[in-house]
Amino acid sequence: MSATIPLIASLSLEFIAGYAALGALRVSMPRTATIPLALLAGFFLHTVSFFVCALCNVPLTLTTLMLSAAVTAAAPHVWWKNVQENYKRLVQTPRWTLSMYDVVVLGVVGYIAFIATWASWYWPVTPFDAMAGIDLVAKQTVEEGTIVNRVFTDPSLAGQLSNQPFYAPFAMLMQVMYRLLGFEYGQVWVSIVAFGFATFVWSTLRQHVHAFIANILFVLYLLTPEMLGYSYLLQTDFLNAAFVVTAGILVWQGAEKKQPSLLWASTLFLAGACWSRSESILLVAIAVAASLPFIARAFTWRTTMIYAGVAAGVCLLVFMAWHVVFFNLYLPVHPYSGEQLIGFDISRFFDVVTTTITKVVADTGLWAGTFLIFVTLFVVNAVSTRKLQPIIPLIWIVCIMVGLWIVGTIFSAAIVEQTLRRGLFKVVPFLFIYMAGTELAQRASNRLTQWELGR
Amino acid sequence: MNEHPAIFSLRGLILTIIMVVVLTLLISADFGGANTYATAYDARIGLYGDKLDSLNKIRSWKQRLFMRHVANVEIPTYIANHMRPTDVLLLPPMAYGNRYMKTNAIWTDPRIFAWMVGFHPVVAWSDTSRRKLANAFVVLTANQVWIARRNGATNIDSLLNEYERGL
Repeated sequence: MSATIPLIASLSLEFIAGYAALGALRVSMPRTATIPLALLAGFFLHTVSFFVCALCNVPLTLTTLMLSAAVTAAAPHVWWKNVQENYKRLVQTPRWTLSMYDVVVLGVVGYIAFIATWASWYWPVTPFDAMAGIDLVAKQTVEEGTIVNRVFTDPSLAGQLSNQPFYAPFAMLMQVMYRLLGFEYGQVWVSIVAFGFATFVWSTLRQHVHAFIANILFVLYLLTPEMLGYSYLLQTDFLNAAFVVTAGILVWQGAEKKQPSLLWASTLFLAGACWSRSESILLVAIAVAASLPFIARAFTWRTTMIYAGVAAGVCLLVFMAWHVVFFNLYLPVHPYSGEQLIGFDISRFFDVVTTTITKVVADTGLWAGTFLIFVTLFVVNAVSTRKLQPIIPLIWIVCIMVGLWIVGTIFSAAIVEQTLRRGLFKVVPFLFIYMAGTELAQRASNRLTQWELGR
Repeated sequence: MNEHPAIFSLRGLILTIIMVVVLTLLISADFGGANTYATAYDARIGLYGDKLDSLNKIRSWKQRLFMRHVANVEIPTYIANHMRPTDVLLLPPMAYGNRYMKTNAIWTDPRIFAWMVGFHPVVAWSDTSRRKLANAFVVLTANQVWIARRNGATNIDSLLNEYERGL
């Protein structure tokens, strides 16, 4: 059977699930932001409901996939009053806000997205980690109809699993679903996530600076070599970055626009972050905790503390669903994460920090000019305007860096040149978001607007 | 940004021309390898864009798998097709495989072996407790692979020594 019709059906249901969930949370944003966010949220929610089917020992088949997608799409409609407002915004007559230079950029980006999607469809899964872990589990799950399959019971793999098959389940479940839909190698969804997220970044940049500057920043983000490569390669890091950065942007915009709905929506993506990479629970805990004083400035401390409680609750819930409930009640074997915990050592920490900066951040083959442009703009902006705003994206950049360094210090399996290198995917989009929000970019943006309008 | 200029205007056209120049420089100008945006774009997108037609003519999923993983799929496929029902195959250490391959011999990892060809009775080299169960062994040469068994032409003890030396 062709994969096209099941793909369209599942994507539509996932979009409805995400869009209705955002509606239920009363999120009001431009459609260029809500549409990609809906898809991302829909993917997350669908994997959760699919996982619930696995917990209930329902065989994981195409029928289960479609039924769980339908239930996930239907569930948020319980809050119909909120949801229908969101639908009304979706079908409003669009205003044409694109300029000629937007069309040029969208043409180039469209071509890149096409090639990346083609590559993810055409080529088999390539990264070692994915073949030894998430995709191995996914392939066998499709064959046996259950996640608790031969990967965890076959004698040939006894004691050989390392921690790859135990990675947080988002990518593995997406692989199961796309293989069930009929894609030989799954992984087409990787580029859907990558370019859906890119659309959200583009939309965010355009909300803050002149479209021309936003487009330049967006193209620089998209062409960042390492990010571009992983827009069609199956790894958990890029997908995780999409959730973490989306959550961070929503926290920032929620506080900036004083819209609590954006804060609540951020909890959905924080949960997605913890559902897509295990160490995210540490990173988002640090970043959210550091953001609380700034959230409290926009709202009350009571709202802020409720938000902190809800964020912690949903993150812990999804984290424990996999790492505690599934590992202990379902899987016959367990990862050796405890043995990889080597404790905090200050000299090792400095070693990790130094190696990250000298061997990873400074490598222009990985990031091209991204970090150089950021540091330059940061310094020039700080010196010339004496302002560090926007502060929340800056906090998230610092907290994610510190969090990654802690992870690199306390986990023996976290290698700087690999784990932390890909961990920087969570930082790179924030660098561009920060640059767009700086006072210097704002001034340039205003001047460009005045010039373009002929004033 | 709430103010939207006209779609077509002279100043918009100037910005469009600047944008085209910026994009062209970013994507195409090599600057003697200094422009990593261009080299990365070429390796990740440009290459596939150029070869899209010829690559799309290869329709077999198996062939695409082979194109990507080459010997890492070819060797396990050969082994899986030539194993006997009574065989318990010892996977050699990666270093042994690396001596005969241009890329890392990741197929020697039992997880990758299972990913490539499904589950078979194999024992990982690092699984010292089960290693003695093995009765079939992989022999590699520069351009050949075969399965050796005890009491055959291949001296298994010498082969195991070679496995050890590869470490």
